Amino acid sequence: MNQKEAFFDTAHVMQDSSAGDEFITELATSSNGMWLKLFSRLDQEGKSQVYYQVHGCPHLIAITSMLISDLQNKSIQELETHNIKEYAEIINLPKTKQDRLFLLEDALKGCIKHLKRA
Amino acid sequence: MKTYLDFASTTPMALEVIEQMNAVMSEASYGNPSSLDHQFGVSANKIVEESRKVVAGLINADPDEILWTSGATESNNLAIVGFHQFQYKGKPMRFMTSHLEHKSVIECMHTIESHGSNICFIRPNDHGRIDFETFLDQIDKDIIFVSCMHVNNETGLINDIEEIGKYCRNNEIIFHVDAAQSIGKIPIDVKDMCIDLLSMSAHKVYGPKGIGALYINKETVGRVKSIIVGGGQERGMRSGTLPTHQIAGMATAYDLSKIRMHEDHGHIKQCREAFLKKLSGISGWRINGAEKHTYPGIISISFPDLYSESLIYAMEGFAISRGSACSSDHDEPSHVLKSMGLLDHEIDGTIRISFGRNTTLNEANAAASELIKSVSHLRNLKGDN
Repeated sequence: MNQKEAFFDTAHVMQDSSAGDEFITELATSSNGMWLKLFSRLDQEGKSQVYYQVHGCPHLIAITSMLISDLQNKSIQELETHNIKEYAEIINLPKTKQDRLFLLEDALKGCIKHLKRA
Repeated sequence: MKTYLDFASTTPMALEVIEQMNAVMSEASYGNPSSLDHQFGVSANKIVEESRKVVAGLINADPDEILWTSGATESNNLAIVGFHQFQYKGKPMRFMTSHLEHKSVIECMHTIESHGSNICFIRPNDHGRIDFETFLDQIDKDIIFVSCMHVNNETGLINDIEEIGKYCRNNEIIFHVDAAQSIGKIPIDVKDMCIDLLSMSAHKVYGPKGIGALYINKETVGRVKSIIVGGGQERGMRSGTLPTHQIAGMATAYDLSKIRMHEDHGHIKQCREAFLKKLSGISGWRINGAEKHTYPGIISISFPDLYSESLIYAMEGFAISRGSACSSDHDEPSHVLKSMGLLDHEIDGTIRISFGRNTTLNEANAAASELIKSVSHLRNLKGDN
């Protein structure tokens, strides 16, 4: 998936607000008004289902879409070892936009923490 | 191939302009227009002086009141800094302008401030326009120079130039107008509008980049101090060899604009109406400024719940912008929209769509459809649909 395809891909966007109750939600915000909300849960086999909602620049949208697509059907251990930084290279994330990675990291870390508790 | 809807940033050159420039470059008129000792220079000089007449004719000025520059930015520099340097006698002078101005005007004002004079900025009215009442409320008796743009490059709003000009003339205030966005698009008469200095460029009206002009009223201003020194061309006020082919291109573009102004304006208005009619199918947006007193070719639209950068990215087939071309390459919020009282998220969600002579009604309709689709996609990503 390239940046353009990821930007337009909505396969893992949480569109049903009422379904959100069945998921653990984690919201990460940045000082410039961008935000990322992750909806996650583990199925009976302990594999992840992750959905998202996002508001921000095209890079954040694309990188979020790519990441979430890759986070499906993973164990918690696999989620913990997932390398977010590689997405920055895939889409050539500009240096001035490196903070988008922090937003993703914060959301994912929070999400894993909640999944472990659950 | 993308559909170009960024005509406020620059325009493609008209075919007639390209042909004329090619002809000038091909003919034996490559001589230096200042070298009047031989036929090559005389031939080039003739083209330059004929072009000067055409540019003067568009604004009802005399040809000897037109000075060639590299564009509106240099014209603004020459008008403001050049006037200041020519008049400054060690005693601070008071200049007035607005936050709506192009950066080149604002930066010039800061320059003369650093040279000892002082500046005051007019706030626009609630619609983002400088009307006469707004101007009158804020002018003070010490002002000797007013600089006010004609059409705003981000919103398309038309300021009340004629009334402000008359006031300035009656009160012996020098009146400078940055007409980069209005020249060739709406009528300008420097005599009727009581304008003393007028900045013009060619590339906003289908002419070449890198060429512009400054009108200097010979009775009220006469001279400004050169900010580029050298060979003393342009009566000592702007040194540098004149680019004959670009000057000829500018004159051709202005000539075309004069002929087509009414037709272009009507066509662009139709494009605007078609675009906005289609866009009315969705909610959550507003036009920055008022419909009245607006040049129809520029639409500044704010989607406060969205990011303009993402909207522009989503509108794959269309070349549109966030605002002024000078500020779209960095993240500073637009000083124009800020001065109009827009909040940060409203500025972050603002796009500028500008139509031109080459825009078709189909393209305007398609742009609105694409924008609706893009807005829907981004709202879907937020969970707002």
